[in-house]
Amino acid sequence: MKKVLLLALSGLVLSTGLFSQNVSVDGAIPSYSKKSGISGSLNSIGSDSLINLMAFWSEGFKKSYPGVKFQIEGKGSSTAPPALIEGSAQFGPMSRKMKSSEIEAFVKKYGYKPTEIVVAIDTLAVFVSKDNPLKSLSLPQIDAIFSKTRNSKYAKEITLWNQIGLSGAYSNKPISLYGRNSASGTYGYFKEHALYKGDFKNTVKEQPGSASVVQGVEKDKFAIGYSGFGYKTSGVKAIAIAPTEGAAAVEATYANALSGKYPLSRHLYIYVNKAPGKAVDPAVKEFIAYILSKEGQEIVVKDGYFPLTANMAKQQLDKLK
Amino acid sequence: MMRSAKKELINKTARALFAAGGVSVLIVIILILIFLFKETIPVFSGAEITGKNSISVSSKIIGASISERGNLISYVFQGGLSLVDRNGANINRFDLPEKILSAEFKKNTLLVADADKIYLYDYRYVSDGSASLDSNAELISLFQCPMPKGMKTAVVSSKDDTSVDIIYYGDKRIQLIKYSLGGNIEQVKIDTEILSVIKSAEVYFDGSLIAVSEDGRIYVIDESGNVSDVLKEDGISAFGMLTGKRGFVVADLSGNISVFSSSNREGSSSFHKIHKIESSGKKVTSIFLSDKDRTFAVIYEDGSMRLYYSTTEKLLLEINDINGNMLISGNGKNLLSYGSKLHLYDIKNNHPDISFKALFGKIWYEGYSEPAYVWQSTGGADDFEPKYSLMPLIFGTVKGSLFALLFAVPLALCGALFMNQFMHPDLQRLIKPAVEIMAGLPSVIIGFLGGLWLAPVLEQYLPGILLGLVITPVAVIFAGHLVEKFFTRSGGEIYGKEIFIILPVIVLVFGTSIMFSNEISTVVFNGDFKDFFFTKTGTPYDQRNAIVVGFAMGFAVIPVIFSLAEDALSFVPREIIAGSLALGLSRWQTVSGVVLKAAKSGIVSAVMIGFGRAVGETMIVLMATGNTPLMSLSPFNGFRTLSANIAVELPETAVGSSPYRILFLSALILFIFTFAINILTGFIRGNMRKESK
Repeated sequence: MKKVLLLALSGLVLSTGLFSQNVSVDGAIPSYSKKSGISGSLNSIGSDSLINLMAFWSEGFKKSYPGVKFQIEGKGSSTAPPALIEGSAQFGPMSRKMKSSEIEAFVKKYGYKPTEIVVAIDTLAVFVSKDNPLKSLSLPQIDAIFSKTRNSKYAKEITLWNQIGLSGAYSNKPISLYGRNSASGTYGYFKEHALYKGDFKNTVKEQPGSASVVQGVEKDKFAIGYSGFGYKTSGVKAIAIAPTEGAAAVEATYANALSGKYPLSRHLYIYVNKAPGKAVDPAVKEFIAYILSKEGQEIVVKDGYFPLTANMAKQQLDKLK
Repeated sequence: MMRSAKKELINKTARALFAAGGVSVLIVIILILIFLFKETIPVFSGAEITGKNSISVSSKIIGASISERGNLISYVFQGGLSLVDRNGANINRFDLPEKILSAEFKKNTLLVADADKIYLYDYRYVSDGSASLDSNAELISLFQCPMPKGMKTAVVSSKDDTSVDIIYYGDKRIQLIKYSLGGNIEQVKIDTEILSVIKSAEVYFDGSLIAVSEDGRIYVIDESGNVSDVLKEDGISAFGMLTGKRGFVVADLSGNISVFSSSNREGSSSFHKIHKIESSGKKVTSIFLSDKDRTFAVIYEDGSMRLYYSTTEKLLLEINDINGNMLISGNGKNLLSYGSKLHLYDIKNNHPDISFKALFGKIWYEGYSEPAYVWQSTGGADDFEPKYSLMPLIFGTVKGSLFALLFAVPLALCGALFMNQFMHPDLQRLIKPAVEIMAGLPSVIIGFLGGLWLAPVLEQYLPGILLGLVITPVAVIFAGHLVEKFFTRSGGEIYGKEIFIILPVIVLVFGTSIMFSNEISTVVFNGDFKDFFFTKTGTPYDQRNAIVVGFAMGFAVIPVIFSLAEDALSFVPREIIAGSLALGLSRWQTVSGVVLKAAKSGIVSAVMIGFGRAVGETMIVLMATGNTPLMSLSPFNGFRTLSANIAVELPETAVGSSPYRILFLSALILFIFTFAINILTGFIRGNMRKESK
């Protein structure tokens, strides 16, 4: 059933428009060069935010190596560590860093830590319906909208649109909240950074996928929701976010994500199981090399995420040596 | 002769097969039940000591540390630091200054102080990469500086790659100083005086300092140095900050232990006593806290120790003869007591965060302004306080099922009754399979449509739909009456096919009321129903609400109730009906007075089984609601059910962890729920049968 759901959701995602920023891959990243004798079957279990990327990468990879079989599942970042530990997947894509308890569980089984590869940069966006006049919010305001603990110390809980300056059709209308389910890295990241580690309100509607958050916001005029920027459709708009109350609001652009000015940008990871001092399976290594190549990073751009710089890509590649 | 023997054999085999089938079903159910119990029971077991090692040490121990996984122990004595394994065998030794007064380990740091200087080291356990456990340690000197004037104690509050924050306090003065590593540049962040003698101090999550005094005052010093005196206890003998820095533990002079946290109300923080553990009559000398979770060790003056968990207020473990201080290892599986000797305890403490109260009672969580039922099982970080109340989920399960029944029961029962008793046999042959096909629709499709199509439609036309639900039945009765009057009297050709006249009426009336939805809104509800509802009740209208799920889930439940109720009606002997009609009762009198009475038990069990189906339904609820763990009776907001919760959260939980076991517990609750419904159904059925005889 879950599979049907995912299929339906990813269908929706693929049909959505890609965002319009002109981001190009760093010219210093080398093209992928094909090796010989790569085959086998590769499994990936983990983040829902990364499922499309994994699918595109695997397609691109299979063009070079038709003998390689892929199986990709995406139910949330928290599903990656158990899968890596049980050995049911070679790749654990995650939209957040592993927690120390998850690393601990891995170490307990294998005696070493899992290897973390940064594969793309994502910005979490706060979406409203495209007709909504709202332009920007500060992080404490977002906290006051989504959280019941308000760790940012924002003075008042925000429940109505006129509390953040909207008038007309929006005045006195309650804000309808959409978000991701707790298995997702997006949920954890948003909780830690936008909610200052506080708790979500009970009224945040937890959606099983990033695309259904965007769908929900699109269909609900008075909605606000968060999910990966790559899931933006023409029916919603991402608002600019100010890191503190009174600071200038920052748009979710590549430059702002790289410089760290946009407060909700993060890395996307793939975790692999590599014993220290030993080489990984050649198919695993080549797949990672493909992801970090020019072709792999172009897919990142195509899917609406931001690519790594040449320097970052090289650093990541060195981790598998 | 041969033939009858063969028949006998076939009969016997069939009987044996059926019996075997029945018994194996029973066995499987029992096995499932046993499995669920097996996965759940460990949750309610307390902590226990599984092993103890004692290590003799020749010199007096000033400070100690235990590696995250409890296999290495470090202790500081005059002039040095020793690293030993759990059996006391020496691994490494480092030199430290002579005449040390205090030595304090905190995450990867060691702070040593003598009479007038402090020495800060980076101290961490390392593994050589080959084994799973740490095998050695590294000590790197970061800097040393004179103890600020008038200060007596120094504590590291936080450290990252570039800087370290140190809290200093003396009798009545407190400072927080940030040092840049490498350059050793210092920046005084807080420097302030307090009215009473400071006992201890720590940094709170928002960057302010919490200082407690011996005479029982708790001070908050914000980042600009403003002091507020927030609470007064009856003297304070021990203090400690819980992991996550969102709450702290205080022991008063009579031995009561309290946990405090602040909540944000209208811009200012107010502090609350969120937990209280009654005194055991002994004075508390110190409190040691775990970095992993909200477990803390309380040391009493008679040398005994108790291990508590803050959220559940649960007493986990008691040890009587520890000597001195108590550390909890990073993974929570080892305790180290140090004083004149080292004692290493292995403990099993897998589920300190679960108690009966945590699951079913109201708990005052850190950062909340009052006790509440909350389900929020994970956070982005390890230091998150998990909230495991099952009450919102049980509430949601019952609420969702009731709304589904509200929609399904009238339609399914009236439909079954009409079809069985009044409809033309030709139509019956058409309708019955159609309803059965409805049962075959995958619930994920219904849920998908419910969430993405029905929810916005319902939002737009709600007043019209509500009006339609009221006036359509009235119109149907009226139309039925007209049919009776103008068609059946004359010849009776219409008999059993009234539906062809009534159906257009339904479509027309319902359609019209939806068409005039906006007008109804304007006239009755002052413009917009949602605003009207919000201003009248204070609860906002949510697009993904109980009505949507009621419709969607009702759609899945209707075929179940319809089929079972129809079967029950079919079992009413035709002779009784014929007899009743022959005695001169009208058709309606026969149906209401004879047929319904005879089929009563079957109809009740149809409804109950429909309820059972709704309780276990997962996909529809998962997709059509927002899975919001609310406890509100309003029909216009959502809920989260036990079954949807299992589907959402099970893939992410680590096998054997607390959330994993709680999900099994909720599966067990669902199982018992449906089991109880079935037993109740059987009971009611039996009673009704007896009655009707």
